Amino acid sequence: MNKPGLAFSLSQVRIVRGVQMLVTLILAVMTVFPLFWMISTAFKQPSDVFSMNLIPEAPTLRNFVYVFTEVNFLRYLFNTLVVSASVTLIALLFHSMSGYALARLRFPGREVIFMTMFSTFLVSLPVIIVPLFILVRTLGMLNSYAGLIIPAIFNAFGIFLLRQYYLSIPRELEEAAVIDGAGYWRIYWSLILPLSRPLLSSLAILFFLTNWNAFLWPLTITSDQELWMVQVGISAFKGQYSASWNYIMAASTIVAAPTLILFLIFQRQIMDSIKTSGLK
Amino acid sequence: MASIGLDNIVKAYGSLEVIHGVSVDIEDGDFVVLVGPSGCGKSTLLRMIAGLEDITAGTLSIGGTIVNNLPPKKRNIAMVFQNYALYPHMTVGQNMGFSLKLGGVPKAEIGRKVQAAAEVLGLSALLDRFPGQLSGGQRQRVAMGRAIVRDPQVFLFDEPLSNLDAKLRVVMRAEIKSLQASLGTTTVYVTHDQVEAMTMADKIVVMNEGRVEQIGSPLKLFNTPDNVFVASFIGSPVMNFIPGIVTTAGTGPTFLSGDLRLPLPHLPHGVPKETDVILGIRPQYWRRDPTGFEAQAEVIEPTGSETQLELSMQGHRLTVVLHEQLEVRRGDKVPLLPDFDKMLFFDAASHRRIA
Repeated sequence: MNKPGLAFSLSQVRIVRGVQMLVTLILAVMTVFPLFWMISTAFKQPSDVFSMNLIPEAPTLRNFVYVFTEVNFLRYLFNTLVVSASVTLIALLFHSMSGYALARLRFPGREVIFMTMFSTFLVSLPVIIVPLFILVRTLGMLNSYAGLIIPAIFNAFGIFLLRQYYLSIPRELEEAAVIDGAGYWRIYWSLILPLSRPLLSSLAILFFLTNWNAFLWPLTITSDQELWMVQVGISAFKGQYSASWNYIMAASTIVAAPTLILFLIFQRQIMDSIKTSGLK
Repeated sequence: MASIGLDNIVKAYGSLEVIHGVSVDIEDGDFVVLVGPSGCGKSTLLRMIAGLEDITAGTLSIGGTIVNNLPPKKRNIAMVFQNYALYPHMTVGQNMGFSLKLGGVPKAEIGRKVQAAAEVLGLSALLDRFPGQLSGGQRQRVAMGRAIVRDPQVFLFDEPLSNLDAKLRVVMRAEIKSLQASLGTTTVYVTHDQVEAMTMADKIVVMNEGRVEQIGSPLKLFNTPDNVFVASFIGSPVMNFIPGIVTTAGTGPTFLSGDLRLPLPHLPHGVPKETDVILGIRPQYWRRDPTGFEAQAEVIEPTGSETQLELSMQGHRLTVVLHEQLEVRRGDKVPLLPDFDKMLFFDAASHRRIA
């Protein structure tokens, strides 16, 4: 039997692949180069900052020492860690519970509540930042961890994703648990939560990174430097040391390091979460 | 072990009534199969027994206790689902012991009971595996293990074999039947497969559109179906139905349908003359006979020991199963004679059996 003819010749396929790889390579270099530049500059002497060498001639840790000693960067890192971890943990717990309730429990107004939550997707933070600020101020949460953490928990994104996921879990699994003697809480804890582990870990990474990089809201509600988060800290640092690129880059490297480490450890989950959530 | 009583059970979703007053008595230790086409309400009825659906009206009792308002866990029942519903994140052992764990049974006893159930079902080597690592038949066994480990009063099966291939289905059918026989636990089994119903049940409940059409032993339903629906649903291939009249005018009792004339040895008892009736005769109750009526073969399906034929006889389409290997080609004439003693007659208007 004759094989059906290929639509493209082998050389054409090779050319197309070559072009695709070249474009990918250019994009990758464009994305990664600033990162390398940042790290490289962080290790350079002040006099070498504007030299074109990517590898510093006389690498030094002085920039990092300066950043940590002159600015309260450890405090900023600690605050960011506390806020990001708290928001992630609390949000996942509440989001999974509300996602489960919206997917499975029958109660009046369920769809209205879901649609109302869903509609908040249309509103970005800058739009509601003033009323949110007034609300948080009224509640007496300015310049507090509560003010940084609580508003960040309310986010329709996780609830929506988890609800959709729970809808896809076969109802028979829950019914089997009911017959085995489980109540709502037991089903949620012993069945639903373990089953949603892959999605929860993806969301955890997303939430953590989002909060780690949060800038606008922490800037808005914290004037006390003891409560600053890293992005606010680095922004203020840039203003203060606008000419000292070596310090700014050392600070930026410190801020970026945890997210880079997270990325290296959880590459697969991050890619999954991006695929699952349809982001990017 | 317990008897189950369904008394005038009604299920409605809003104004839509789907079960219209079903009454069935299931005796202690019985293997009862609820059978019927898709949407007939058999699964809904099973789920009402399980407590997964509310009962709109009527009384449901298990072991003499009315359980209408009892939650599933207090009914002491176990259920095997169509897709097995095994907890994917738990091992086979954890799946089987989950209900005992929830019931506060000590760990050592859970282990002992799970081990005992696993031995009965040949699952001992698989206790540490996850459901995703098991074959369809093994999952089915785990689902049964999860049911028997609780030592319930009643087993409920919701089409448990429909996800298995044909060969495994036959094996599992026998296993479930023998397991039930050895445990002696009252069992309600839902299927749409009448072969499963015939081969497994002590008693079959045939349902249609939310009503019970007939209750009886497999052979009773096969031999003396109450109506056309039961006659057509039970037995494979489907019974042949020929509408016509019985007349005694002329040479003697004869069944007439268009150009088809079937002389009858005697007037069937209870069949009114010159009245529209439906003649029912199963495909297995025909034989090849040189003195028979000629029918033209249209489809020939040899299955080895038998030959199934689709034929045309005086404008009527017939299905016939002959217990022989037959060299017949499409278009050939085959002389066939029905077994007159096995003929059934149904009233044409009510579809109820009259003889």
